[in-house]
Amino acid sequence: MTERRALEGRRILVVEDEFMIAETLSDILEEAGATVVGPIGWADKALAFLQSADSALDGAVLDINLHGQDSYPIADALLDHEVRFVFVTGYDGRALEPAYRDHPRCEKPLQPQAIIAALSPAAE
Amino acid sequence: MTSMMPNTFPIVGIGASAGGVEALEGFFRGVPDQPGLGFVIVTHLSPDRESTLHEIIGRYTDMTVEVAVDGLTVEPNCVYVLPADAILSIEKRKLLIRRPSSNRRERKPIDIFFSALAADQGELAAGVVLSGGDGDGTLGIKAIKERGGLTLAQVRDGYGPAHPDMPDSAISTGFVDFAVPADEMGAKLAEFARSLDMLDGLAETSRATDDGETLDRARQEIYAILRTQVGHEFGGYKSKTFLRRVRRRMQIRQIDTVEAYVELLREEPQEVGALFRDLLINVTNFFRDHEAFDNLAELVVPKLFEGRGADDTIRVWVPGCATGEEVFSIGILMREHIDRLAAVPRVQIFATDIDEHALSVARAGRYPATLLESVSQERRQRFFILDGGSYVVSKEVRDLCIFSPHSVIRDPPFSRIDLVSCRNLLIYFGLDVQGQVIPIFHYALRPEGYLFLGTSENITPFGDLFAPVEKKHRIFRRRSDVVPSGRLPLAISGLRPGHVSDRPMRQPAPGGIALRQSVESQVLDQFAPPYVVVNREGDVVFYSGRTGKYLEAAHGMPTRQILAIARKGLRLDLRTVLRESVDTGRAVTRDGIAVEGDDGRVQMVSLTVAPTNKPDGSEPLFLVLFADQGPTLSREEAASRASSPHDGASLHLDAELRETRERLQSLVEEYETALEELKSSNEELVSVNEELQSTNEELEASKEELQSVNEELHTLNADLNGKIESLDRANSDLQNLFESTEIATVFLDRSLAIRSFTPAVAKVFNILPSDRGRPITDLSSRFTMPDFRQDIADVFAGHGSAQRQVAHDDKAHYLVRIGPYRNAEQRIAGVVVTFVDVTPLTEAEARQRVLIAELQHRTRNLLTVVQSIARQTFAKGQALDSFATRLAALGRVQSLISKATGDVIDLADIIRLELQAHGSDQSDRILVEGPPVALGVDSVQTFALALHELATNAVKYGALKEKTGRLEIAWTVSRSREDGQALVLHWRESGVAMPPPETFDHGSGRKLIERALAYTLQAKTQLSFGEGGVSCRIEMPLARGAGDDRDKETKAT
Repeated sequence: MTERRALEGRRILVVEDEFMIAETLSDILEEAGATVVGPIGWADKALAFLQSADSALDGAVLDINLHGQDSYPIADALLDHEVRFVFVTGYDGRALEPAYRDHPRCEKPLQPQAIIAALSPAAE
Repeated sequence: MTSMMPNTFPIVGIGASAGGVEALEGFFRGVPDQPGLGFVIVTHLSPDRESTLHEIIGRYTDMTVEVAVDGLTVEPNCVYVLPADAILSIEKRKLLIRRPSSNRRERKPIDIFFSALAADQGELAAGVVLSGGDGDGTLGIKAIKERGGLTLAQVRDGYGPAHPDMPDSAISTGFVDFAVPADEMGAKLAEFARSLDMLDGLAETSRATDDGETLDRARQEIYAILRTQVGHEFGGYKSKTFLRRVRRRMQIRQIDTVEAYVELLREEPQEVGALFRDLLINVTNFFRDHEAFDNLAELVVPKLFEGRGADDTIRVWVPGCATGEEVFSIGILMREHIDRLAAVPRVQIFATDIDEHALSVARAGRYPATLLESVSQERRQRFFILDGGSYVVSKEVRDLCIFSPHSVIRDPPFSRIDLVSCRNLLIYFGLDVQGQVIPIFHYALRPEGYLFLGTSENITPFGDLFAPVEKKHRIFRRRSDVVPSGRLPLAISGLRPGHVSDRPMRQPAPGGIALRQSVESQVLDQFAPPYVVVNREGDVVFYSGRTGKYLEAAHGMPTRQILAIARKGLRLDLRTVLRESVDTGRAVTRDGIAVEGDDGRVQMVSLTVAPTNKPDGSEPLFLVLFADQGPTLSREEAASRASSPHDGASLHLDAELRETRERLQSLVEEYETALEELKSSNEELVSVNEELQSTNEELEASKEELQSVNEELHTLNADLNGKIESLDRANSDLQNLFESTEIATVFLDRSLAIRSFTPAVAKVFNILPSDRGRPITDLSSRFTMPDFRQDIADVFAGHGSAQRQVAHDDKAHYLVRIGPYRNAEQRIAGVVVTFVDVTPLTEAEARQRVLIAELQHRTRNLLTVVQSIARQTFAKGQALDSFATRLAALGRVQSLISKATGDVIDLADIIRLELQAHGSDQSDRILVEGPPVALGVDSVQTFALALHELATNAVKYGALKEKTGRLEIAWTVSRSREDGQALVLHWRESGVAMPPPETFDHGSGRKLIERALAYTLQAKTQLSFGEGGVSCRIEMPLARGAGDDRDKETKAT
């Protein structure tokens, strides 16, 4: 069990195409004290957001399949900005592109503690 | 002979071999209905083939045809066929069947049956020899003939014979009564059956009736004819037997009355000979005339070996040996004597005959048991080998015998022979031919050589050439002290054995002029000059009286050569005069020849040589007349008389004459020496001839062996052909299998060289048919197989088969299986590599993997949605009921998705399903209206959840709760925005009495409608609460996230 408000004051980007899941993710992160950026359901919007407002993100939660498009460009952009992020996806590791297989990943259904732990400063 | 029972009938044995079916067809077509005969057919059948011969014959005859079985009694008008693989015999009219002891084929089944038939039936037996390829039946025919049966052999006509050897061989024995075409035999046989009854009647009644007296008289006449023509007395014969034979000849010559036959005998000397042979028929069986052979063994054989060492040769000549029984009998006697000797001289028995067929029977040395009746058990065991039903003469006896074709009369005789055995040959010759043959035997024999003749033969006209050793059994010894008259002809043409002289023997002309004859002879004796008659060679054939004055016995061997016995002084002139007369054919006289007598006085003589008045065709003879001229003179008188007219000149002439005479004398001697040399050359040639004959023997034997080898090869070849055929079939099956399976298969040997491959291999390797024999490693493969060599090595090491999947550019996938190739000894002689194309399978597997990943993704997403719904629902403190209905709506959507064709779902279906869940789909208060719109599966879930919220609200608070309420759901597709089509859906409730504002389950429903649609589907939603109830307008783009992106979805999600 992680600390109750482990993400206190941190700005976390949520990229998830399914409204219900995006809502839930946001709830989880906010409950952990984070400031949720987004959520964003479309890959092009997310990329555009990252281009324009690179203003301090402390982390990101990234769905891999966004309306049929994969989110690897977003992941690359996040890596460029040295933003720590975690994949949240229904795919298991083998379905991912090999380059991203070793990246931190939380499988659906959501496990709040795992997501929080992966994004918490303690994990750095 | 056989006792004639009233109900007996003749049995006909029929022998046939190659080409026999046609011949039998012809034969049975010619047999009349109810012929009153029983037929037994013996053929050469292969033992391993079931014959259908009886069925075939049944087509040509109405008689019963059956396969012979053991113990079956022969019935008249029935035909019996020899079964396969059996030896047929007969006893007391019952057929006997034996199985051959070995699995070899009996080679002479016809001989065996015929001789058994002859022994059983005697005169009731008939033998028929039809088409066939060897000499079988020949000995059988002899046996039947000997016992008085009827014999027939086939000659060429429409029904063959296809292979004439067998009937020809039978005919050439001279024992065949009828040589006729197959279809004429039946009539002859039927007549034979009828004539037997008649014959019996004839013989039985001959004494009692007038007819019988005629017959008796005829018999006496025939006796007389035989006596005068062939010099044999038949008075002692049984009249019944005699008449039967006469009757048989009559039947053969188709003469009805005895008188006519007697007439025929008078006219045709040949018929006398034929009758004579029939009467004397005496097949020379082994040791026939036991006593004669015993005498030969006792008196002659030991003498032959006397004084002979291992380097010497004993030569025996058997002219007219026929089928060889006599030859082998003598051979056995010789062999028996040899057993007692320490030093064994070489024994050669020259067996000759003019008949090649008989000789080949003799060479085979294979005889049916009946011919061995007079052979003792001991000799059978010692000298014969039982082979099937026949006895074969052992090799040690056969090796003594040399068979060759030779004519006693025509060909030069053998010489330096120790024993001539010639039994029952002379009876075939007329007296004149006998007169030629006996001197030939005299010539052929060594001094003191032996001659062995048949019981009914004699040397009568030549008693001076041979001295009897055993008179009764006709054993004679050559007399060396006499020279046969006439020179031995080296080639006398014209006469052949079997021909009786064409000249009938004439009785001396009756003498009405006897007086004249006697007077003339007296005149001749007393007053005519002395004379001799000589032949053209100068041999004296007749002396008159009182020739002693001119002739004297010469020194040395007795001779009749006139030049040798003429007195001195006569010889030279005699030679000249005789020669001149022979050459010119005229009388030649020379006068004034001085002949010196015993008393030393000289007589002048006139010498005349004149050809006699000879009968045509006989040898020319010459009369030599000696006539004295004047009284005898003293030597001086003669000399003076001879010289007086000439004096001085004559002395010189005398001297010259003497010289010339001496030269002539020496020439004569040289001539005689040359003649001697020629004689010895001739003898050398004869012995060379003998050697050639024995070589020929060996060749004959080799030929037989070759024939049997050839037969075996034929069988083998047929066998191999069958195997090749089945191989071809198997090969073609395999070929088709290879081509149809399209499994690339390569057969490699131990050195990895390609032995064979299927056409499909070309897809894997760059391979050509000419690559057979090349190592597979030389070929380039379309894909890499790094472990290929190792795998093959493992298979060779016995690790079982290896299996590996290889891919070519990710496009073609092959399953490579390497298995051992085991040869017939179950050892690994190579490997079999198969390439199975698994490309479709591999692709299906890949697709399946993608689908499973996608399924997992969707499931996990769905679970997360459920998780979120739960979280949202319970966080707002709503009831479990609400959660349940949301899950149910989610469930409905999932069921729609799973049933969806393609990845799209019709909007109307979603709406209908949602209303159905609330039991409101049939209500007339609800109006649903719009064009078909396909929504992508991604969109459906959110859209359906939003609809669910609207419907739930309507059920709880709105149009679906009250009876007055109405609901209208209508949509259109319109072009809106810049990027494509948009769906505009209106949800309008009306007639709701008290619509509570802002319900939607504490806002969570409303949030779903307003925000989720916007978030997920980029929809614009306007939710308003009007007078009559809730109204909602949803506008969402269709292009994006909906149907158009289908392809992309399938691929990327």
